[in-house]
Amino acid sequence: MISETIKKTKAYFCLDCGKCTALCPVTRYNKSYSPRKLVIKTVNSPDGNTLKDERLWSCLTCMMCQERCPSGIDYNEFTKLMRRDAKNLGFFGEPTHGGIFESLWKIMTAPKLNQNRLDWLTPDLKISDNSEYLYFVGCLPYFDQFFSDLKTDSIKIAQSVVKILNFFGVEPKILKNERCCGHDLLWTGDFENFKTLAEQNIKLLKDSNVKYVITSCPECLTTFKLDYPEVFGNLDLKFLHITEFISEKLSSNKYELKRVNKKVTYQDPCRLGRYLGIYQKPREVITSIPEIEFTEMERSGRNSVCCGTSCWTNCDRYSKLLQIDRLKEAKSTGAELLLTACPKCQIHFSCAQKDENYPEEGKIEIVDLTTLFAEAILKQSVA
Amino acid sequence: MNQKKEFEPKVIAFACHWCGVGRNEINPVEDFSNFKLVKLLCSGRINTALILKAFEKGADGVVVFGCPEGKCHYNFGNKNAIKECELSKSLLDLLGINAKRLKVELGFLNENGKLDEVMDEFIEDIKTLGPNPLRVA
Ligand code: SF4
Ligand code: SF4
Repeated sequence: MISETIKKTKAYFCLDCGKCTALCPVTRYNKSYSPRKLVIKTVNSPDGNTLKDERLWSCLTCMMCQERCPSGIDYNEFTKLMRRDAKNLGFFGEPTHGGIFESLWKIMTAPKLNQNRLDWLTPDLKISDNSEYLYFVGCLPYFDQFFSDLKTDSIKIAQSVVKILNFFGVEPKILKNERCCGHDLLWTGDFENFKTLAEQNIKLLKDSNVKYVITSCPECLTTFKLDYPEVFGNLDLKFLHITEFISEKLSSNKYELKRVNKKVTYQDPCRLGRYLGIYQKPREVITSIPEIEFTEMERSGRNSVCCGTSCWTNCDRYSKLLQIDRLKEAKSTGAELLLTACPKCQIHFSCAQKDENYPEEGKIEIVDLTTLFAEAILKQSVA
Repeated sequence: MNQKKEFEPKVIAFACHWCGVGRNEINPVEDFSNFKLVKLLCSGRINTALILKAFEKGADGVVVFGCPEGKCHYNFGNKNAIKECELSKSLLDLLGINAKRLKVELGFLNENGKLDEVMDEFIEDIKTLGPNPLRVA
């Protein structure tokens, strides 16, 4: 297994140059973590000892290192496969929130599940069963309940997406029984349950007879675009992040939007940015709003820093330190709002600010880009 | 004789050590004829993750016992239990698992067979609800 992982990720090409470790946002705070060492140790002694290394679970899978590795080693795939093998041997990371999300995902593998997940659809939001477009809501209803104390109102993202789609003349189809896309199971090494969720979602998507699948979560999008095809082949569907949909609409027609007199900056989600290369579209959406003042953070686009934790695993004090620095960076742009395009970035950054000794220099309001855009649209489309 | 075997629900109860549920002080887990009892140092130790874990693992019903209102040994434990159970109920509801499968009961239940009464009634309710939908193939 390890030899396969080394071969597949080309880990044997490692030059021991240390670029990855130098760039890694985790190493910056947690000096005991080094992607270079993990790769070198695995290549030099492929006896499976690294599988027991708990640092395997510290990686954010942010892809920062991989972009700069001179040998083109697929460190993300390396982490994914190593975690799979580690989990099979009974090793795993520290689940955050007591492991509740793991339970939720596993519960969702049940074939007879009949969820009640559409209560957020207020009568003003129009959906249709005969639509070319499907909006894949993802875990938002669950986040909304579980993180109610953070006041992120995650479900507002879903409501905003439907409002935006309606504004552009689309009444999307929405599934009552979509499952979690499986992203976090995959990245925590549980390939088996990932496949079960994926199979169920693929069946639902295929049976729904749509052409386009819109997501507001970059993790769902990456999983659909990159991971499902790897296991199940081409799905014959077009997957779009909501910002891609909006920017396409804005470029083909003129729309009148409300003014939003706010200074904002933007956090590139790792999945949307480095994984899928979607950097420009969210920026087009932001700057389309009249009077908005947009400033980039010092580290943005390809150099953007992860929001500090992933897969609800190993959220620790290093995550917090990373988040505080990132939020200070956001605030130092002079922005009043930090815009996110991933529901988890919003949750993580809001959670960091709840700490008792949280510094004033990092206090900034966090709003999802879709929520902001939905506020800027007028009641009626003027197209 | 050839009647279908009656559905025997799998029920787990979490109980605060101070409210005196259970037969002895030593065993952290006790097997009753129709349910399993897990003792906690305080009902405040229960959380949504534990409750959902029980359902994930196939429980048909979960009960959380705590001391009466205002009588928590640590002051706030039972309030926490109520809060966590409310959150769990909202998540169960989203999942389409009937929230009646989770019950919180505050009181000193070791008195006059009250525990049996509560458990028997709960188990009857679960029998009417049938098995945990996750166990249905
Ligand atoms: S950047 Fe690439 S080649 Fe250099 S140490 Fe890291 S994995 Fe090895
Ligand atoms: S993927 Fe990100 S967190 Fe993981 S080793 Fe590379 S830079 Fe560090």
